[in-house]
Order: sequence, then structure tokens, then C-alpha cells
Amino acid sequence: MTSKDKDIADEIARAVELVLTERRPSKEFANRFRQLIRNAVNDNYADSDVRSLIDAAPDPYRGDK
Amino acid sequence: MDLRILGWTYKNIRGMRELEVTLGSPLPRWSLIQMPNGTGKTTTLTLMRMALAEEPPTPEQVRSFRPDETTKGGEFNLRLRVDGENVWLYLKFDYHTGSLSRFTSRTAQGGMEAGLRLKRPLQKMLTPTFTKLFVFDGELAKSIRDISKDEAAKAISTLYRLDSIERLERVAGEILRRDQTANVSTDKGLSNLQGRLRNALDQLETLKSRKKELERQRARLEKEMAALQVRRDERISSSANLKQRLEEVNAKRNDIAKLTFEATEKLAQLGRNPAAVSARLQDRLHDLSSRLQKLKLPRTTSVEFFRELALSAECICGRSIGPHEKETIERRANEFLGEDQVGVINAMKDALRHSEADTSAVRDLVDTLKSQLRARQEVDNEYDLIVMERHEQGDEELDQIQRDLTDRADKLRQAERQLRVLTASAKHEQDALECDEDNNIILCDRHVRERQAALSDATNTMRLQKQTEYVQEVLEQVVRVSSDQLRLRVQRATNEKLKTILPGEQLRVKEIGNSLLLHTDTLTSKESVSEGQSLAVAYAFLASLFEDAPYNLPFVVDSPAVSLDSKVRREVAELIPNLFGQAIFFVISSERDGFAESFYDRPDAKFITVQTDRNGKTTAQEGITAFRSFHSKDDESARVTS
Repeated sequence: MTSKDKDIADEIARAVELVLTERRPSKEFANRFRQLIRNAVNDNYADSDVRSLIDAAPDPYRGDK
Repeated sequence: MDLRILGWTYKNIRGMRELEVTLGSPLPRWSLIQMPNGTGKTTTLTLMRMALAEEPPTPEQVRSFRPDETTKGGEFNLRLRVDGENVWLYLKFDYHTGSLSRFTSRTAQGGMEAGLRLKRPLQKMLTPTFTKLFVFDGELAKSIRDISKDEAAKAISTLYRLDSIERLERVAGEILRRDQTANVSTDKGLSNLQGRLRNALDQLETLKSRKKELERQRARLEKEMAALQVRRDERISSSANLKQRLEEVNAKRNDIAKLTFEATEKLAQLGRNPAAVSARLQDRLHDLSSRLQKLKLPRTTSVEFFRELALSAECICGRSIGPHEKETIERRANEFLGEDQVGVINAMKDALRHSEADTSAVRDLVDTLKSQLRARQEVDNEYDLIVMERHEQGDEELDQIQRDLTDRADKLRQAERQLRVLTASAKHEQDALECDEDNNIILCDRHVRERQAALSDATNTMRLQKQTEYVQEVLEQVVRVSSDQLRLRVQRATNEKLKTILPGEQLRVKEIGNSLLLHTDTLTSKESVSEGQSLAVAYAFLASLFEDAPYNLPFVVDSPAVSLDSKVRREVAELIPNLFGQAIFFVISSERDGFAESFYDRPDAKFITVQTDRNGKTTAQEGITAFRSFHSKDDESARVTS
């Protein structure tokens, strides 16, 4: 990763943390989300990763917020 | 990712019949291509953009490159280096049909591939709109502040890979759509299913209540009938000659009931052994037993059994087990292994082996029950006869009791029929009684479970939808926040550069929103900004945009300084060289002053002059001498003409 890549990745990572701090999702969702964003920026993810993230999202029918 | 332009070739493109421009090796950082107005600067930039971004041109656009009516086809070839690999992009124009064919050739793969075949992320990024930002048109420079609505934001999104995150939103949407194919996907659909389940549950509750009510009614009727029957017997007994006969009939009834009960109990006992029920059933059980004997033993038990057997000195049949037998037992053990549940199978085998029984006992009991039924019928007839005789003697009270009994019996029959409809569980009985989910508890219960399953499926779909929407919202928010941060970063960098380019003026980018919003202390509105200032803002913005991007792209610009005054030209000329890894400037002779001349002393600059002779032949001449002298000839020509 070049220094430019790292700068941009850091910028996006900061945005991710800002959003996660505001939304306070589960630890599992937050971890999966961080990982998926890192992989997406490098164009290295599968649809199943997105599906796993969806499944980890708050479930309104379980009373999650 | 690193993209560099190595050169390009024209064949039958407007005035250029055959011309190759090579930027050389090592690749110069700055290339100044001097081309007089009208010789193909704009055409070259258009062709470069067309080669890099896959957008089909119209037939009119294709034919606009035609040198004359007799030329059938033309070609433009752009030579690139992408991450160290040489790539050739070919545009082949068919002027007759007005069509364009693209081909790509790469050193790594060799041969020609149809279409534009760049590395995936690069090709995705090179949209026609984005390409305009680094193959930069003079026209765009004039309107850089308005760069077509949301182009600034789009450029930032593309360059800084935010579009990769945006793509995740689309992937999430596609996942949801795939899951929604068979299920409801709306709140309304879910609400409908919830309503249907509620109705089914209500109906089940109603049927269960009805059953209880009928059972109570039946019990009450039976009690009333018993009481009426006692009263009837009392009335009959009031006649002396009938009293004795009645007692005899009742005694017979009790005997029959006792015998029937005993026979039924014995029959139920015998029924536990299916072999005792009938000879046919016994034959079938024996057949099953012989089949089960051939079944393989379950794996786990067999493994233990054979291992233990192999270790023994003697087999269960009494023969001795030597090394050869031991090896054979262990080897063949697996051939006899089956699934688990040895206990069940062995129990079944045992039960079947001992399923021998005498079926005559059942036959005898059935005969006994039949005879008791006949006896009961006869006693009932005798009883009816007694009742009739008493009736003929004339007894109003007995008549009333009899009418009440008939009434209760009718009601009891109705209640029992309704109960059968409510509780019938066998399919043939349900069919005979015309049962459905509205009148039968079993079917209604099944209906409820089906509704619950449908609702569960729908709820899962809705859950997935809500969760997908949540993921999309979070992704969108991340893109928004990242974009804001990156725009601010580009804005700050742009303003830093503007301080250098326009030191005396307080022209700054106030906001990069959908366009560049400028702020100045001395100018009142953006309309007051001169063309030169606009160009300075454009360069500062584009340089800032590209300098931090993970992509190293060349910067190609047409007439970079033509609209700048000489002071700003020098500033721009000082700024631009350091902003891009590769810059290609298409200039006209008048841009030499202030702009081109600032590159003369730079060793990493290359000068090419493209000119057309009196015979219409266009050539490219390398070197600073030709570059500088071309300007002089042009002036002379202008003076002679004037």
C-alpha cells in the first residue's frame, strides 16, 4: 500500500468510526463493517461478506434498535 | 495505479494521413506539443478521451474525423503504460458506416482483443465524464467552477474509491432482491399475512370452544336421557306384569355389557401382537423378519464387535482365530457395516422372530363380540316391545317421557355428528363428513401452521429488508462523511495552491459541493472572476484532486495558458510542473511567452512541433529549436499575409 493509499484508507476509516460511534451497532456488526469497507476499497470482497454483514445488522423483529 | 501516455498515431484522421507522435524513452515528465490552431489539437484530445473511455460515438462524430469523401477508414492508436505494462488502445473508424471498432493489445498477453480491455478498477474509473478531468479541455477550464453539477463530488468519489463503498449498497440491494423472489416484500404484504393468521387462529379458537360446548351439551343430554330412562322404567314397572319382564331385560343387558367389556379387553390385549391378529399379517411379518436378517450391522457397534472378535483366540462359532483370520476379519469388517441404531434393529429382529402366535383366539373373540351384539339387539327389541305394551295400556306421563327421550336422542345425534365433524382426523372420515378448515379442528390447526409458516417466511424477508436498509444507510453515511472530509481536504489543498498562483488576490474555493463555490474578498460574485482566474482555480483544483489520489494519471491539457495574462502564466507554469507526474501540453505559438519558455531549461521536458507543409503533409518534429523557430515562421507568414 502506497502512502497515498494509506492516507485515503485512514480518511475512510475515520469516517467509518464516526458513523459507528454515532450508531452504536453490535460489536459483531462493527467488526464486520470495518473489515468489509477495508476490503471494498481494495476491491477484494465477495457477496457473501455483504450478506454476513446484513445478517449481523440490528433485527427490528427481535427488538434491536 | 500508474497510467502514463507514451505516444499516439493517426492514420487518415482529418489532415493527418499518417503521423506518429512518440514522447520518447525515458518518458519525459513534461511534453509540450506545439500545434497551430486548426491542425488537430482538439481532435487529438477528443480521440484520447474516446480511446480511454468506452462511450460509443455517433456516426456523425465518426465521420467528422474523415479527411475527404474518398477515404473509407481511419485509425487512432494511443500507447499507454499501465503499472509498467505497455498497452495499445486502437480506434478503427469506418467512415462509410459511421462505426467505430475498438481493440486493445497488451505486452503481457500479446495479440489484439476486441473492445477496451484495461485493468478492471481503472476501466471502471475512466468514464467519459471523469476522463475530461485529466484530458482537459479549454472549454471545461472556462466553466471549471460549474463542472457539470456534481462532477466535483463524483470525481472525488471515483478517485478516492468511495464508489467501491457505494457499490456495496447496490450489492446489498441485489442480495435482498434475490431473497425476495418468493416472499412478500412489503409491510402491506406482511400485514395481510398477519391478518390471515389472526383469522385462522380466531377460527381455531371458535372451533375449540364449539367442541367444548358440544361436549357439555352431549353430557347434559346423556344425563337427561339417563334420568328419563330411569323414569320410563319406573313408569313401566308400575304395571305388575311388565315389571318382571323389564327386570329380566335389564339383567340381560348387564350380562351382555359385562361380556362385551371382557371380550373387548382381551381383544385389545391380543392386538398388541400383530401376528395374532391374522395369518396374512403374520406372513408379512415373517417376510420382513427374513429381510432384516440380511441387513448390515450398525457401524459403531460392529466396529467394536469385530475388533473384539479379531483379538479373540476363538470365534463365536468355536473355530480358532489365527493371524490370517484376524487380518480377514479386520479387512472385511467395513463391508458389513451399516448405520447406527443397532438397538432398534435388533429389537425389531427379536420381536419379529418371536412373532409366532395363534390367530384362533382373536377369531373366537370377534365371534363372541358379534354374538353379543346380536343378543343386545334382541334385548333392545324386547325392551321396545315392553314399552309399546305399556303405551297401549295408556300412560300420558310415559308418552311425555318417550317424546322427551326422542327429542334428546335427536339432539344427541346432532351433537355427536357435529363433534365428529369437528374432530375427525382420518382423511377418509374428513372427506365423508365434508370437513374443511372452517369446521374441523385438525384441518384448521394445520391451516394455522401453514399461515404461521408463511408469516415466518415473510417476516424473515422483512427482517432481511430492514437489515439491508440499515446496512445501506450506514454505507451511505460513511460515503457522505468520507466525501465531506475528502472534499475539505481537496478544498484546503486548492486554496494553498491559489495563494501561490494568485498571491495578490483573495480568490479562494469556499466550498466544493456540487460545483466549486468561490469566495473572494475583492470580487463580489463569480461572474466577476476573469477567465484567467478561472483557469488558475481549475488547475489548482485538479492538481489538488489528483495529487492525493491513489491513481497516478497523466494530465493532458489543450492551450493551458492562452487565456492567462503573462503574470499568471508564469505562476501557472511554475505550479503545474510539480503537480503531475506526467503532463502533456498542447500549445499554440502565442503560449510560448510566459508559459512554454519556462520549460526550456528543464531537462525533463520534451518539445514536439506538429506542422503541415504546403503539400498538406503533416509531420512531427522533435526538439526545442524547431519548437522555438516554428513560432518565428508563423509570425513571418502572418506578416506576409498582412
